[in-house]
Amino acid sequence: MTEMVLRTEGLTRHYQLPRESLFQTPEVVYALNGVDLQIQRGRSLGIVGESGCGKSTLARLVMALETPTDGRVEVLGRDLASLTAGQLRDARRHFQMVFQDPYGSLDPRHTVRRIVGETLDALEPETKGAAREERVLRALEAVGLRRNDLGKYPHEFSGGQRQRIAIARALVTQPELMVADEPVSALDVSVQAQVLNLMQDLQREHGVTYMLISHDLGVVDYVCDEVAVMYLGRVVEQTTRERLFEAPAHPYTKALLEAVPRVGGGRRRRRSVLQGGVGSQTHEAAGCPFADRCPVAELTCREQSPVLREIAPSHMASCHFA
Amino acid sequence: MSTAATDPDLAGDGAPPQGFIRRAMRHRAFVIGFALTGGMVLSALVSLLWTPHSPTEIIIANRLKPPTAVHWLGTDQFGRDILSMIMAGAQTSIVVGLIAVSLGGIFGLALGLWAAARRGWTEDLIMRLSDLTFAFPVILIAILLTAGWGPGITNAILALGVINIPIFARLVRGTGIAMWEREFVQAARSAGKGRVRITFEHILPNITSVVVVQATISFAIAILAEAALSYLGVGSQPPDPSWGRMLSESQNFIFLSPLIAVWPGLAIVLSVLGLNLMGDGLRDLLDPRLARQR
Repeated sequence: MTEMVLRTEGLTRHYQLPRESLFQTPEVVYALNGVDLQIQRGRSLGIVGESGCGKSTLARLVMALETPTDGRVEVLGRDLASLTAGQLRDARRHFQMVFQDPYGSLDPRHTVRRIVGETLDALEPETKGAAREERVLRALEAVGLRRNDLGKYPHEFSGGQRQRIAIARALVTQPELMVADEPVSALDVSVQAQVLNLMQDLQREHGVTYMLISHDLGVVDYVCDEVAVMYLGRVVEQTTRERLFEAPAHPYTKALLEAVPRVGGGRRRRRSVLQGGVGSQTHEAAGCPFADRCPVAELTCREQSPVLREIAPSHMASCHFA
Repeated sequence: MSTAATDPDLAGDGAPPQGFIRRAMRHRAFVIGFALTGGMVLSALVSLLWTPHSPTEIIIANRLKPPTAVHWLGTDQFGRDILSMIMAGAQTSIVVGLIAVSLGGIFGLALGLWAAARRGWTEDLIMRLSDLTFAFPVILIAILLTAGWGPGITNAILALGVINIPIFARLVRGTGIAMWEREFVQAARSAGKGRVRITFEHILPNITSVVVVQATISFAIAILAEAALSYLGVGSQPPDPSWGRMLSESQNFIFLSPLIAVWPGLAIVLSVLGLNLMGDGLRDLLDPRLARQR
């Protein structure tokens, strides 16, 4: 049994909206509804889904930036909710995050030296002076930046370079787990590949485990070993990358795959355009959450909610017909 | 965007001011505002050491003289030299403005940062108390406070300072909350920094420009309010020179010698205008998004 770097169990997060009038009960957004995930050391798990499916909420919960409504997050076998504030801070050196927007995730008034060292200063205050400088420099060099970039400010860099700085900041404490929330979606396509290659190199050299969140199946295909497909706060299918692209089981996954534009002719694809928009997040309906848009939905789908079950070795899907 | 690295004038988001003075020189409103404010400060400083005549010496024989070579702006109903009184009055205005703004600024900043960092009921309490003071006009509160504590310049300053607290608190809370939502603050949180540390390392440095601009505007309002309070007789007391009291005393003689009401009025208008223009200028110069468009 290999070690699990990340495990979530029944992870749930609901948000209460401000009440619209004094006499109404405030509405609740069901952002995340019972997500079970696990990632083995050195592997990378991709999370895909449309916007609003709970991907970013999942990232924030895993990073302990928010507390779950229900369920638990375990990093390296330790339940984050059971830690004291001090223990949680110490634990943070093991899991770090790369944010979506490299223009917003770096404080414009701090130098690169300060930004990259920020994690060290907060988590390892004993690392000071030359030792700190050395660690910062090593992290910068690992992402392909140079010593004379240390004194510069974020606005002096391009988007791709900024994202490298953000990765260096996450890398500096040598974390086991790195959560990347849409790390390349704000970048030019030509730069995307560079950043993804860098992430792969880092995984090879440092054995980092990734949880990579993306709406882009191409990105996930490029980097990840396993993929979880999310829909309305639930994981609807989870399997290896190969199986997901070759034998998708859930109708939603199939629709996502068919929506990916491809260069060249090849086999002709049957286009099953999804009907309607993403369902409501503010009430819990009976039955399958995808039933309203599903091309193969039948009466049972509207009455019974499907559970995530193993349909083949290391292939889970929650569909009555999978 | 691609030229941002090469042209210092296109400096990016919140960058340390590069070519700040050069940009400031090109900003006409800022230059005018700076000159007017500088003139006020200069005359106050000079009046500490020298005034053409004594601002308090009463020579009844000289009363209500029009401007002459000896008394450049003429004399008032007691024969005092108006230019000297205006210069010395600038001291009062500056002292009132500085203390009132620092008082309101420091406490307001602290409360606003606290509200933004804590949210929840702390924020509600601070903001509802602010709303309470906002419900009354500024001058009315100042009159109420000086009525309670007794008239005098110290109480006027305290009153104006107290009024500034919720103004700064609300401003700082609003911009602070927006700053807490930024991704670099999320990054700082996942780096394990606590709320206090984030407030001082990330929130405060990124909202200074807003606070500086508000300070210049509050300064102008404080000068105006001090003049109004002194005019009403609850501000500075004779014989301390004050622009507002010069105005109120001159109104009995306005038909005999209209100019003696014009001079203090002009002094108030120019200094308030100067501070406002300087505040507008600073807002433009410190806002990197606006700086880029220039």
